[in-house]
Amino acid sequence: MQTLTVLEPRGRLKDPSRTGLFAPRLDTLDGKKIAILDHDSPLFFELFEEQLKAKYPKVEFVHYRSLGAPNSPDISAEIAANCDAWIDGVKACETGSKKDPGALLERHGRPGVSIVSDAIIRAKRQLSDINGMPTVRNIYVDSVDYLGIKLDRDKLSQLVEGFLPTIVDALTAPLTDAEKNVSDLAPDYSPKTFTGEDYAEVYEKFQQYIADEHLGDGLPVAPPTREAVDRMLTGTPLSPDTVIGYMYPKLGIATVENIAICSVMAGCKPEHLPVVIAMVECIASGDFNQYHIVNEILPVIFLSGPIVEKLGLNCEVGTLAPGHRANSSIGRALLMCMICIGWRDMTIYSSPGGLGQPAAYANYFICENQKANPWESYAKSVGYANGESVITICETLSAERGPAETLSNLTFEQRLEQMAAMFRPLGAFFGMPIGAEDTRIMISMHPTFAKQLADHGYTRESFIQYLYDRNTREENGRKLEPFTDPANVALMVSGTGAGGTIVFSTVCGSTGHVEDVVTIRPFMHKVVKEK
Amino acid sequence: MKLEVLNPRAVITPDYHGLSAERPADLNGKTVGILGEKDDGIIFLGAMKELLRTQFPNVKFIDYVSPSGPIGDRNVVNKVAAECDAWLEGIKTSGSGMFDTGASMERLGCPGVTFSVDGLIPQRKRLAEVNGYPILRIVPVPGATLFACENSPVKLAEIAQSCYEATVAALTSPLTDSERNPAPFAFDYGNITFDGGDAYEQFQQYAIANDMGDGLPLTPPTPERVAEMLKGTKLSPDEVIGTMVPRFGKATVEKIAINAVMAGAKPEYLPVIIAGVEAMCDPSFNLYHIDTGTLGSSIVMWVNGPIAKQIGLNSGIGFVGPGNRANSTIGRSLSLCMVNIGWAFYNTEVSMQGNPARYTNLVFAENEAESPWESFAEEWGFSPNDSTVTLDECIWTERLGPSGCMVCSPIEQDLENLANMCKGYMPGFMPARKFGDAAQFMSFGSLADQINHMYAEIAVYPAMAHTFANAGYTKAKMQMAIADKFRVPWDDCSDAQQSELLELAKAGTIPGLTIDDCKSGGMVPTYNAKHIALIVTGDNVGQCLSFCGGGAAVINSDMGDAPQYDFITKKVRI
Repeated sequence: MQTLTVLEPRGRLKDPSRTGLFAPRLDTLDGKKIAILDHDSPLFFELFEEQLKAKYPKVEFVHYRSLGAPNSPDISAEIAANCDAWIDGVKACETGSKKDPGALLERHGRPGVSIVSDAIIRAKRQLSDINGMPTVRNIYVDSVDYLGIKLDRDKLSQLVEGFLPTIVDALTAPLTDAEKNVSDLAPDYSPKTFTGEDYAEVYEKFQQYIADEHLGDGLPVAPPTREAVDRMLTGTPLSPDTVIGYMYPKLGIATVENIAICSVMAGCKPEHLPVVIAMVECIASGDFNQYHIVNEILPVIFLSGPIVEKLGLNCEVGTLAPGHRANSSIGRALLMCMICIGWRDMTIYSSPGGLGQPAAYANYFICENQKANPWESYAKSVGYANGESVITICETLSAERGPAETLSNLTFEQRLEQMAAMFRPLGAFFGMPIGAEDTRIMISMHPTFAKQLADHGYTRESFIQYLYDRNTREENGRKLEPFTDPANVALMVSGTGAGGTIVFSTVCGSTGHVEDVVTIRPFMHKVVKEK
Repeated sequence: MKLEVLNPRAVITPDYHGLSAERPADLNGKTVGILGEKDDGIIFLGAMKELLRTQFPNVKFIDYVSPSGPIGDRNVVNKVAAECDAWLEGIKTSGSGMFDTGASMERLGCPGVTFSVDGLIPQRKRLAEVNGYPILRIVPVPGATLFACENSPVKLAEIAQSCYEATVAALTSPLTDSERNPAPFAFDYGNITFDGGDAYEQFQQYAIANDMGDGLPLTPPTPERVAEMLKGTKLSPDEVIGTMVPRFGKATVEKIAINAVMAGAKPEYLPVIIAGVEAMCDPSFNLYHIDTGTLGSSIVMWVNGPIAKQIGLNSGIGFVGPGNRANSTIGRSLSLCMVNIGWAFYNTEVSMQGNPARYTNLVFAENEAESPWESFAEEWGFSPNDSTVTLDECIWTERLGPSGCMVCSPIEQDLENLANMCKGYMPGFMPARKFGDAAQFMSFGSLADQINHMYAEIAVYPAMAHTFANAGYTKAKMQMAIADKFRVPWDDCSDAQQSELLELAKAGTIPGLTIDDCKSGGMVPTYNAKHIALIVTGDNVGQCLSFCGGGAAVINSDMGDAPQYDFITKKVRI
């Protein structure tokens, strides 16, 4: 008989309290004022209002944009003061906001319902749950039926007609006991023991437990036994109960011990732990739009400083390829922390926009190749002292790969042109407003091109200025800029002479005007606290 | 605790040769063949000739085109061997093919030196090893300087000067004993045993140190676990599924099972993994380009048929991301098989930044239940009861969206967007009258080959498929509508292209190419619509994904006469 006891990797919830619905539903819709919180579905609501008015002539509507956008202010108090009930929708995809309009308005005592595409049922339920009100009423629309006819007035009208009774019912049917009486969450944080005939059996039971509980990435994890975690903890000077921050989506508390557990699972060695802690500190200690990377977008992580060499991290050929334990397992440890400490179920929260990305297993974890860097280190360029190792994190919407220099020995001017062309006209994404001040760009540049730039007299700063000048233009009397502040571009030298610059950019920078950010800054940096 | 694991490495049987061609002590009076590869290599070797002439005034040179590039004529090596006393070849700057000019020359008894950028030296050595020469005289060229030289003759002369001494030594110094008689290939395929409380950790360290893993924790392939894994197939453990490049490792069912255990797979996944390996070993599939391609590619594999559901493959949210054991571990098994069965190690085969998609590749199922159309496998003649895997190379992905959920576009716009996702929005062949012969880069073979080699693969989310189906689109009609976006004017084609097109139109082998198109004012297709795979999968948040940068078949010439495809389908043997 064999047993295997592992520590619980889930983060303790910062706030396990949950509230049931309490706002009484309406007796009738006639004479009532209903707030419409439109989620990019104007035609749906136009038809809905027509049809509802035909049935309840005295119903009134007030219109708002849904609160669900990542940059939208919380105006739920104002909405609640102006209406008797609310309808939110049609939510057909994740928007990157952690605000559930339903939970906000129900807390203000206003009854209502969200209309949601069935493709994101589980994500929407989770959203209500992390907003503390798991029983918010949702109505589901079949995405196959709905998405194809969104713009077709006749067909959409039929669909709305079919929905009308359900919506009216959701606004008027009295609350059930299950909706009213919701208990607080009380997860079991105790160690878990698996038993079996032999070690192979208990090991397999443990792996299956991780898969069933959505605590992994689909690949085997190393069992976080007490001994393994204690060994991991020898890698940091911090005490195990130090709180590093809170991790989304469920706001799990990231203690040093929890991070050590996740690092064991990812396959790290004790000396890797300080880097993982600094990564978690970057995204979880505040002023970082963490929900956006939980929900849709991959983080990009730069590591600059002497620790790259000390840990034998690969910063040369194949820096992003599998095969180097330090790189692979440190990058993966951040994902494990997000999954376990933050309760990020990968079958609900996938990036980007539901497709998933194979790069997410070990993340874009990129180390500086200081030996081949013609300029001062990236950490020094942003004000850190010699000897300090620094983690820098932002999110990325796109990873644009540069051309293969190995195949074309171009002139410097041609390469400069190619490089400049890698910057898309921002603002084209998702029809968002230009928002160039929230753009963040991270460039992992291969040493050959950096050397060429340096040979031609470019500093890091003057090259970033070149990119700005080259890509800024007037269009219809409007100034289009690739970014507004050179400080919002992080340029680090990494990789090999064979080429392969990667440009990561985002229009919704995690440290710009977004949720959870009080102090806006170019990037989040944290110093690695070594033993 | 004692931990015994089976060896994941497949048996290889390399036939090693020593160098035998004697080096000339003096180059005066000798003829040296110069085989330049790419422009920088040609200029570099030109500078090298000048340097040699200074020291050896009576040396003679003959220039050839190196067959190491994508379009070289391999027979040139016989010519060089007949006409020259020695040769210089290079510079290797990218993955190239499996043909080794240097090893071929040495085999023909002609001595010489080959150049490679320093970053690719491990790969260059491996190439020689695959070609039977564990030792070849290779002179490294500093990559950082070379790639920044802008083909400047002055700078290339400086680089040649910095390599000159090593080059002369390699050309003229007598062969050593170890070059003549290299150690024969030896590898211990036996089980490996670890002892002690930290046996699990020792195994992880061993796997990393010996290039057997990917840097993440592996499940130890103990005899018991492998026996359990083998219960997933009826095939005998000794059955050979194929041999895998680059070192032609023998892919037995047992070796595949060992790697599947290490990847974390369950026994019921094994038949899918075996089918994937069968495809990877097929000479029609250019796995070598995935191993060595400079841009860093990975495998995309989609699964059709009943097995997808039986083993819980994800065809919904996050279908190419982490979180589903079947998708993740099947994909990782393929990568570990490349490492341990093909002997393609990450440190030799990967160039530039590397691709994080290589941990698990992109493995998913078609969502047949929610598709309005016949499945991909049915389209290619398989029965709905067959389970199949289809593989291609994927260098990058393009995503469309969000569409549907946020922004709703008319069908015509969707078609335009989908076409934009196909391979960089280039026509399958370039009409020569308009673009000239210079536009024929990467255009090999007949016009029919060029058209038929333009493959595209797009994962279409179910709601979009239904939108098209409701608007009267069969899958074939939608494929044709996308292919039509790549039509080019008949008048832009050269006379030669026009006559080939007319023949093809008469034969009726290219869908949508009619005799009527072949006249002034007509528009001719450059894509074979059947080769635009539309795979219905994903969840309905409204994003499509296309898998780009395959086309390995087009630039490959190592597969002999085997028919070449982009995607290749194999039946899963349950």
